[in-house]
Amino acid sequence: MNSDPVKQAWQSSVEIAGAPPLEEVRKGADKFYRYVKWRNIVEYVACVLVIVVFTIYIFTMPHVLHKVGSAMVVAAAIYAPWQLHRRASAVPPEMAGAMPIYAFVRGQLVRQRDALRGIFWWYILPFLPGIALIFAGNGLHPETEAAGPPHWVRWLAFAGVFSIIGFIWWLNQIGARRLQKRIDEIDALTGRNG
Amino acid sequence: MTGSTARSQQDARYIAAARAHGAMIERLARGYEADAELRRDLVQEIHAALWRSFAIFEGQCSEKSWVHRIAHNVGVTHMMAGKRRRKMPLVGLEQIEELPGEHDPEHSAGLRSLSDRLLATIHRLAPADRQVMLLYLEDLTAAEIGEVTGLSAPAVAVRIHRLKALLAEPYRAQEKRA
Repeated sequence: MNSDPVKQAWQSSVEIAGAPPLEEVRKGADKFYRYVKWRNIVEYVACVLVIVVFTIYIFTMPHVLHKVGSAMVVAAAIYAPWQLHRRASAVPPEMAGAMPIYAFVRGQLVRQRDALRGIFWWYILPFLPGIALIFAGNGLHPETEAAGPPHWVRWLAFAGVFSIIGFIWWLNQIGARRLQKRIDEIDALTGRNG
Repeated sequence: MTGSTARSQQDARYIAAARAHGAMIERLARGYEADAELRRDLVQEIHAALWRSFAIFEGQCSEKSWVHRIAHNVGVTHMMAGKRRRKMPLVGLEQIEELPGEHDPEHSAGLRSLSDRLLATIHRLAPADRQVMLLYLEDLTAAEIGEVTGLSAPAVAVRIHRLKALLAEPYRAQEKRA
């Protein structure tokens, strides 16, 4: 024990502490993996729903542009999760093998960061042509045009859809910046440059 | 080395470090988080980070410095993430002239023990100063504090000088009273 009474008072405030069970510690260390796994499951389920709904639209919507647009959305909903799996699937920490776990974790963070940074190109963009065609079909089909809401409401809906897409892109860029911070922390810890 | 051998070595090193530094981790968590429930989560997080870190620890520094560095990294990250919950603005060491008194009106429960008064002071400090104070109280040398925090030697020296003056104040007051 230290002879400095202030340090002594501080150090004697907690003198004995047990460590949590090893299994619990390991589970805590796998948090990022479990987060990515669940995020991807949610994305896959959402894409399955989009495929089901827009497949129905192919057969039920009146105008050819609706049908083509819906088919393109279905194609995008197949392409996007495939890309998600390819670029940002959850890799369990056991896959690290004998690799230093921080090198492994850093690699995973870089992979997820890059996926989020480029999300417009592989996740958002594939849906845009299909969505645009469906909106165009609404305008060009006389019955839908007549039965539909006024033009300004349609433009508002159009702007709304693209605002949501923009918002999703922005959220992902924030996510990428957060991952970059964690990468920087690891680099500082391991003395790695750049 | 096979994956399972590396893993069991990592486990063994972690268990030894957790045994040796468990109490320090608890004290450090008290310094970074006042809420008991959130503190439990923070301690868990520190242990998880520590376990992960022993996969890359190859004697880059002393084990003691390594454990402190990992624990403080998690602590500071936790503290920054919780900044929205904080009611009082954080200050630097130079803005604190004395430890809160034994019957400080700001603390309804009273701050009877010296460690409570230290803790109340620690909770007011901005991250770098808080790190230095916690490390100083854990009896790390200036060089070790620099190694853990990444602060330059002069920056550490200035903070330790301020800390010594601050921590000597209760005894000066006692002497005056006597």
